[in-house]
Amino acid sequence: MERPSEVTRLLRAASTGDRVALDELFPLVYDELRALARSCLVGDGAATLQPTALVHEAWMRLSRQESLGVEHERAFFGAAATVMRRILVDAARARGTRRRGDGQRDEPLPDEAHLAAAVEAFESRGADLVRLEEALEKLEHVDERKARLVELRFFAGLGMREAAAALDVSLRQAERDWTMARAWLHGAITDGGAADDARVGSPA
Amino acid sequence: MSADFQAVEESFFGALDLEGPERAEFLSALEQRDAALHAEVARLLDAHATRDGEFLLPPGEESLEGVDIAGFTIRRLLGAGGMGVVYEAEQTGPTRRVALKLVRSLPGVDRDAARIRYEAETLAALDHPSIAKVFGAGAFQHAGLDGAWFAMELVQGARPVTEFADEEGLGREARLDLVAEAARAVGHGHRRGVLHRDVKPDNLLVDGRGHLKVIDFGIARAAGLERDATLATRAGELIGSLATMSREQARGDPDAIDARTDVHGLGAVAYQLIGGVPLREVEGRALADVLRSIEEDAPRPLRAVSPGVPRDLATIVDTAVDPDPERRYAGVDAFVADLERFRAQRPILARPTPWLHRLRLFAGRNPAATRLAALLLVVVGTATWYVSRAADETAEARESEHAARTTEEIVAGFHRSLFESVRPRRALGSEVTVLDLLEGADESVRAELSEYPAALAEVLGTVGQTYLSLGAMERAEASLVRALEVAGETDAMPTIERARTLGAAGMTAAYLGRYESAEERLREALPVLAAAPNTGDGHHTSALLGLAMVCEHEGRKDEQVKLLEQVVAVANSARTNIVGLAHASLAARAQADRRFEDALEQGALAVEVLESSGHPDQPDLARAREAYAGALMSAGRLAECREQQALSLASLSRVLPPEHPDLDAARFNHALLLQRLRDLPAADEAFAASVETRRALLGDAHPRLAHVLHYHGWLLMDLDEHDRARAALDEAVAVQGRYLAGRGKESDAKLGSYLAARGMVESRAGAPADAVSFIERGLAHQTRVLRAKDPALASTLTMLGTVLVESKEFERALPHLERAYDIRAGHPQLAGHWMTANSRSALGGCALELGRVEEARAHLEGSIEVVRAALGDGDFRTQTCIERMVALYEWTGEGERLAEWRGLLAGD
Repeated sequence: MERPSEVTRLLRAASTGDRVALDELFPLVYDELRALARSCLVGDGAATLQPTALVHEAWMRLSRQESLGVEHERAFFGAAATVMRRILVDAARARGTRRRGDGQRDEPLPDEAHLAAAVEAFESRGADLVRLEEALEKLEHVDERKARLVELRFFAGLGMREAAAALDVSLRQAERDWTMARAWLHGAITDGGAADDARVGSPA
Repeated sequence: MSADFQAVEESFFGALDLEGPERAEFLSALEQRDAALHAEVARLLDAHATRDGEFLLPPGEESLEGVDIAGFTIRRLLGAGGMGVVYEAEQTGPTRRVALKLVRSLPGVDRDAARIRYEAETLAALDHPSIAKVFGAGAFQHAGLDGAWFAMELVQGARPVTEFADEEGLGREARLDLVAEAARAVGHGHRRGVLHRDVKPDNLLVDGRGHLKVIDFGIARAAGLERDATLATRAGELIGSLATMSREQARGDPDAIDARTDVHGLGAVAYQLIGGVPLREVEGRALADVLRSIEEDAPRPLRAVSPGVPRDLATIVDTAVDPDPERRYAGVDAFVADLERFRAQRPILARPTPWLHRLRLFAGRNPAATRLAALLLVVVGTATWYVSRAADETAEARESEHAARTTEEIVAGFHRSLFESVRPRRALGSEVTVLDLLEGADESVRAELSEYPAALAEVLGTVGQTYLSLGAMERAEASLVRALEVAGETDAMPTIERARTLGAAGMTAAYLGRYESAEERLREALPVLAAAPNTGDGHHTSALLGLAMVCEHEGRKDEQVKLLEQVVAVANSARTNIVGLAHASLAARAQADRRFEDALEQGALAVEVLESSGHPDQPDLARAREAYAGALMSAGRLAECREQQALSLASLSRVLPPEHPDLDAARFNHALLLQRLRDLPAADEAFAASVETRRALLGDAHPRLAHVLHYHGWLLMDLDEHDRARAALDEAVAVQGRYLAGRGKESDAKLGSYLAARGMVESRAGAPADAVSFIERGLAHQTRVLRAKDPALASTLTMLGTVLVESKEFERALPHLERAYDIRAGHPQLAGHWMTANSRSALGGCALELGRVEEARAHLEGSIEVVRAALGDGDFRTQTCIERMVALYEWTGEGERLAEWRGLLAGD
């Protein structure tokens, strides 16, 4: 069967809370976003890749192609945020590797160059993606909902209201979560991310 | 969440909610109680205070306070939308406070600073007290962000116009003042050659002193968003404008946007200000859903959401927000002028939208069958409108002296008489159906409208299309043909309207079995419908489906499949239910061609598409279920088949009149299932009913009547009602013969099948010689028209062989049976099917009778398990095959096997 139908099926399952479906969805959304990133950049290498625009564009394409409801939209943005996070963090790590000079290639692939540009765009706003990722993984262990909120906001570019809807919490709750997550992540990043292990711990 | 983390969070917020000495007190108490917890909370509070966490904000929400951009120092955030962020900023040079809008670059958007400045110069030339001034514009780059900036007049104490009106408790007059003020400002822009392109409440701000300012005039275009960005990359902005967006904007075609787009925006603002609700509800709906609704649905008439609004005012607003730009005011000035007329209590120029136009829009979206209940709602709703209109009769009389008798007015007058025909006595205590209404219309329309051909053609066309959707084919035909005649005589109908009427007439003819005239009409309509700007409206695809129907009946299979695939391709982006319907037809085609795997796949796809794309009672879904059920039946999945049929029958019975062909087809399919489930008396009743319906509906020369008679004949054979079986099959042969004669033909495959079945009656009745003669006649017809390998031949050959076997003419039988098996075994979709195995078993039985034991053994042993698995041991065909196994082992004397197979014979 065609891929869009597969995506639909998985979105449907994922929107009912099917974890396995969400995992299966991941590679499909990943491919979609990569393909989209490539097609967006063809012909204009100078354009900055905007991951959040990509995520919205991917959703528009999918939802115009198929008849998908608001519950699928939430599942999609959830998956897309995770995908975007992984793409960007991988790209940031790869760049780090190249910088240290232990990579095999001198020149990044075209696809990677665009991703590197996206990483630059994110990091120019003061975010070290690799360290953020380390802190976010810790936050996931102690409070997954807050980590998901950061993912939706930071990587999928959802507004507070949309993110609250995606997580099915009230706007007020989302705002509280956001305040806490920001302060916590900032602390975790500036302290090298290890100092608080004693307090919040992480399950073995 | 870990318990420790929770404690940290609680204390963090506990401290955050306090200030100054209270917070210090809270923290020192915490430190005494739990030093580690205190340290962690203090660290979080520090982090919170530094605001360094802002890097986490999504793009566009970064705080830029204190940052300089293009000579402006940003002071505070005023608001953020999808299109950009607006800050209050300070300019040095001329020292002033401005609203600084930053529009971020998007992929593919032109960031040419020179062009932005050029556009800004045009905008700066707008000089109107109600338009916020543009001071300048350009491109900017800052910390990884880049895009365009626009410096605009800062509106102090700005509130969106709707908010202002509600909070200040403004009355209708004051609200209309605001609408008129905004409209005059927009009109000023138009005279300077600038369209606003995004008129919505958020862009009409009212300042602290109650003055209205139009902001963002032409900004979307100047920022390159409209010209360069795809609809998708504007998703964020779209969401802000969806509630008021016009159809041409939703389509994302910048060339379709003109002054009437701004008329729509102003109308939408008026709609919300006067009606109290947004033009459309977008909260909580999926974007794709809203876009589809903009494309397909007309907004609710203003008086439907707010009955207290005066009729003329409602007409003005409804006209301004009409989805079709052609039906709106031609410009903002005309809109303002009509508003002024209303306020001066003079007659307005706009005319109410004829309800039949709405009805047709509705029927057009639900082609081929329309839900009566929904139609009645429309009818009742409009009837109410007319009743209230009648209350204004006196005022009306005065106005009508001035007004010209336009087509629309005539149509409206006609509608009134239409409703009078059903109210109130006739309607009292009895249900008035749309059919009743239309009958009334049909009677009076020709007389009343004879002097107004344009109106007459429109009404007749609509009446005809509605008849078509109700399944009243003869009446549809009469109305549509007359509509076309009137249109032809006077040249009064627009080309596209005529093509639609012609398409509907083609569909009607196809339903009535008048395939030649159907094809002629559809072929004439198709090029026009295909070239129409909006092919997603269903007329084009319906016509393609109609033509596919013609091809199906004429046996032009390849052409049919090609047309259906074209439907899928054309409709793929627009109307999922048409796609679903095409999949359903492809399933039916595959089923007829015995491509069972394809039929299952297409059928499942059709049901899946339609289940996810509309109302559960939509007739298209029922049709898809029917096609899928047919495939399931062939696959022997009877329980699933029964489930699909039950759903479809229940739904069709709710929605369609009893004599509708689709409902009849569903009953026919159900009869087939009953037969398959061996509930023969029930199946007999169902087939007989279907025969009656078709005889009455289709006449005595229609292939669909012959088709059901054929099946009924087989069933009657199973019931041993030989006389009735003979009568049914004789009639089938006669009907099909008349149908062929009418087309100048003598033979087709079906006529052959009916003759063969007729022969089988004689075989069952113990007259094998007569049987052979009938079947041979049938075979002769089929040989004339079918390819040598056609599976339809295999059925007839099998019958011939079987009858010959029964009359002990084994030598004669064998070659027929061999050929039948060869055809089936060589057919890609039939190779593993139980019918093929059944053929093979018959061949084995015959070989055994001729003493060719090893050949017989190979055939019999190679086929029996397939038959058993597919039909079960209880089926009479399985029993026949088992009897042959018994005969084989009796012959060879294999006692153990003999006992085993004997044990499987029923009754043993």
